[in-house]
Amino acid sequence: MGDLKLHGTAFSPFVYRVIWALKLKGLDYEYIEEDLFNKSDLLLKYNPVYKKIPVLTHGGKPVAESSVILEYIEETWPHNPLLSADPHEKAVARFWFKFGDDKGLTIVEFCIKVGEEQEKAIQDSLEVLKILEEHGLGEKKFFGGESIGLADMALGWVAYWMCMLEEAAGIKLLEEHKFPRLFKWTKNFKEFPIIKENLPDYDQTLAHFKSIREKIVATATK
Amino acid sequence: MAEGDVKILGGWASPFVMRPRIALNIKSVGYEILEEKVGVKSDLLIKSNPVYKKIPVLIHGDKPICESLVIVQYIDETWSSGPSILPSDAYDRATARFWAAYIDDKWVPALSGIAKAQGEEAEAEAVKQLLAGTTLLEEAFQKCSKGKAFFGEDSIGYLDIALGSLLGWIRVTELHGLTILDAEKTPGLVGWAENFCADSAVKEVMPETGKLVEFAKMIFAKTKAPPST
Repeated sequence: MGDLKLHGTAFSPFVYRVIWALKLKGLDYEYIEEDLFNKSDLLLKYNPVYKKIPVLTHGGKPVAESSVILEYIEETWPHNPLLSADPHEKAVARFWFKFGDDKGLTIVEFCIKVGEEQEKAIQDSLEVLKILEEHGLGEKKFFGGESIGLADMALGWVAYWMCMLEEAAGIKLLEEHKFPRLFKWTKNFKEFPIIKENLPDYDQTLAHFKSIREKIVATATK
Repeated sequence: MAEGDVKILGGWASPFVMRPRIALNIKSVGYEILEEKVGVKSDLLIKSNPVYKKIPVLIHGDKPICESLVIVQYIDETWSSGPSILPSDAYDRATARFWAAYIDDKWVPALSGIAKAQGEEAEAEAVKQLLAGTTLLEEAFQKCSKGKAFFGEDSIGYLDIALGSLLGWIRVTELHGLTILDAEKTPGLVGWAENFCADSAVKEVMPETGKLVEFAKMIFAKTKAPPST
C-alpha cells in the first residue's frame, strides 16, 4: 500500500475531503496537524507552489491540491469507486467538483463581510445555491448518484460547515423551503456512515468561525 | 458513433476551445465546430451550459460536457484506443493535473491581468507575477518532459494542451514588448513552444498572431465603446 501521510488542519473542509476519500477506501494513514501560522518545513517542501494544506504523501511523494489528491486516491485505489466508470458521468462529477471549488468563496463570503458588502455577498451566495438546487442534483440522491462520489465530497462542506458559518454570522441562507433538494442532500450527506463518523466537532468549529467573525466585525467597526 | 455526433460550441480565438479540438485531433476523431458569435450567446449554448453559458462545450450525441479540461479528460477516456492524453502513471497524472489547474487558476489570470492593469505600477506587478509563474512552469517542464520534447514526453499530453493552447495569446502579449518565453530564462519552454505549434494536432487550430491582434482590438473597442442611448 505504501505509507500515507496527510498534512492538514483541524477545521478545513479541504482536508476533510481527503479524509473522507481515504476512509471510504478503507485506507490507513498518518495525520499531521499543521499550524498555518508556523508552517512546517515539510509542508513548505511538499507544496512549494501554494504552501497550503491538504498535502498527501504516498511513499514520501507529495500530492497537493485536494481535487488532484482525490483523483489520485481514486485511480490508485479503484475499489469502492468515488467516480462512475462512465466517461460522461465522470465529466459531470468533475464539472460539479470544479464548480464547488470555483464558487466556494462566493458561498461563504457572507460570513467574513459586514454592511453593504455582506448584503451583496448574501445575494451572490443565494445565486450559487440556486444553481446547485436547480442544475446540480436533479432527481439524484447524491451528486454521485445513489452513493457519495467525488462531487459530493467537494461540496460536502456546504452540508456541514455552512450551518456553522450561518450561525456565526447570525443569518440563515440554506433554508429548506427555498432549496428543498439541496437541503435534503445536506441531511443525506451528513447521515452517510463514513461521513457521519468523520466530521469536525460542531462546537469547536463554530467557536473557531465565531472568533474569526468577531475579529472582522471589530476591525470593520473601528 | 458517427462524425456528426461530435460537436464543439466554440470560437476560433479562444484558447479554451482549442483544448478539446487538439484532443480530438490527437484521437483522430472528426467533429463539427459551431462558431459562437462574439457577444451573442446562442440558444444551444445556453441550453448546453446553463450554469456558466460559456464556450467550449462538447456535445457528444446529445450529451453536453463543459469546462475545457473536463472535456479533454472526457475525450481521453471515451476514445481510449487512440494515443493517450493523460500520462499512464497515477503520480504523473497527479502532477499533470496539478500544473494544469495552476495554469488556469493562477497563470491565466496573471496573463490577462497585464492587459487589464490600470497604470504602470499595476502593470509591473502583473508582469512580475506572470514571469514568476513562467519560471515555475519552466521547472515543471524540465521535470515532466524527462529530456523529451513535451510535458507528455514523446507526444503532446494533457499539460501540453493546457499551456500550449495559450501560445497565441502569449505571442500577442509579447508583441507589446514583454518577453514571456525567454531563450535564456526559459529555454525549455521556448523549444517546447516551437514543437507544440508544429505538431499536426495543433497546426490547423492555432490562430495566427496577426488575426488575434485584430480580434483583441475589436473586443477592446467594444468594451470601451460608450453604451448606446
